[in-house]
Amino acid sequence: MSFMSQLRGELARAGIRGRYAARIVAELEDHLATDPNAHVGAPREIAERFASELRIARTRRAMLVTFVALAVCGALFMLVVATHRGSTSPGWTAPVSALAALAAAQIAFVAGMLALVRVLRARTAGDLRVAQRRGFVALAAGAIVAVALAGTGALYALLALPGLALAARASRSALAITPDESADGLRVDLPFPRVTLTLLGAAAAGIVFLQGVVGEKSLQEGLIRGGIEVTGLVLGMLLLGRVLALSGPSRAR
Amino acid sequence: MKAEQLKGHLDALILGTLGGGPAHGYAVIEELKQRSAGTFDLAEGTVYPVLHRLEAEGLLASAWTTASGRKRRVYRLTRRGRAALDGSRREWRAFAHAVEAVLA
Repeated sequence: MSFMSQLRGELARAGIRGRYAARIVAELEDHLATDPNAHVGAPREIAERFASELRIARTRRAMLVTFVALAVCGALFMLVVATHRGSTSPGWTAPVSALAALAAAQIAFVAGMLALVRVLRARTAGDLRVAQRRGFVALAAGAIVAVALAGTGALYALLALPGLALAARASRSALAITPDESADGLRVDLPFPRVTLTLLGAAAAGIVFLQGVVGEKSLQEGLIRGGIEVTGLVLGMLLLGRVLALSGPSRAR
Repeated sequence: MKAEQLKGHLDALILGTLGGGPAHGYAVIEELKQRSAGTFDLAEGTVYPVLHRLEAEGLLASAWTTASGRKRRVYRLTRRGRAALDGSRREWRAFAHAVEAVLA
């Protein structure tokens, strides 16, 4: 097998494929044609060095695209909330969709913010992996928001989907070149993580409670909504705690 | 000199090499070697990944050209790259001046 074929194979193994891999091969081909005695190194070593150099830049770019896509999604969410004039869909679809949109919007916001914090503080490949996972969760939640909003009758919310797909593609390209290493949990991102998380959860539940009390002029409604919020937060923590590296160090699979 | 010993300076050295004008990977490596009188004789497998990263970070831009019938990727500094190079020069001069003051 020729050097260039081996290099192609090693680049693919390191997660670098397609046109970008072809570009690397073409550049090194030109280099070796100019200087046949050049010490380019072993194909595996070259491929790993490219992946190592590119993973931070690709993850940061993916996070930027994710942030923009989620901002568009958030703006559409606010627009739907601001222009809401009662459901046009009959039956249970609209209330369930509204509840799904509210829950997913919170997950997207929290996961997106945590991804951003981790990528800015990333020191290891494991940190980048945590940021990428959080980004994917935020994007998936963003897609649920868009679809759920469409379920309430606001079909234009689906306009957020192409941006979210673009961000998912950028994130996948970063994920492909990042090894699955273990990383620290929430203490990298927040001071006093458990206390901070509890306070944030209590604040969110408090806001929902007050919204119910003031908006509906009913203490009972406030308690029901606050209770739903607390249940949602606990469920979210149980279901997504490990994926988002909230509950402790994340381990490589 | 090995790349590990240059850690923290390699980006600035590559930006400095391209400060004189666009060049392809081979020319960057040769220029580094010549300007340092052979001290910075870096492996090609080290320099190309750094060129790609600097491009991904927006400090370099690159395009294909044709030379002697072969496709060749030529790199040039972007505006951000030039600003980063100026910053690196200032930092290095201050650092070298401080070391000189202590060692002299």
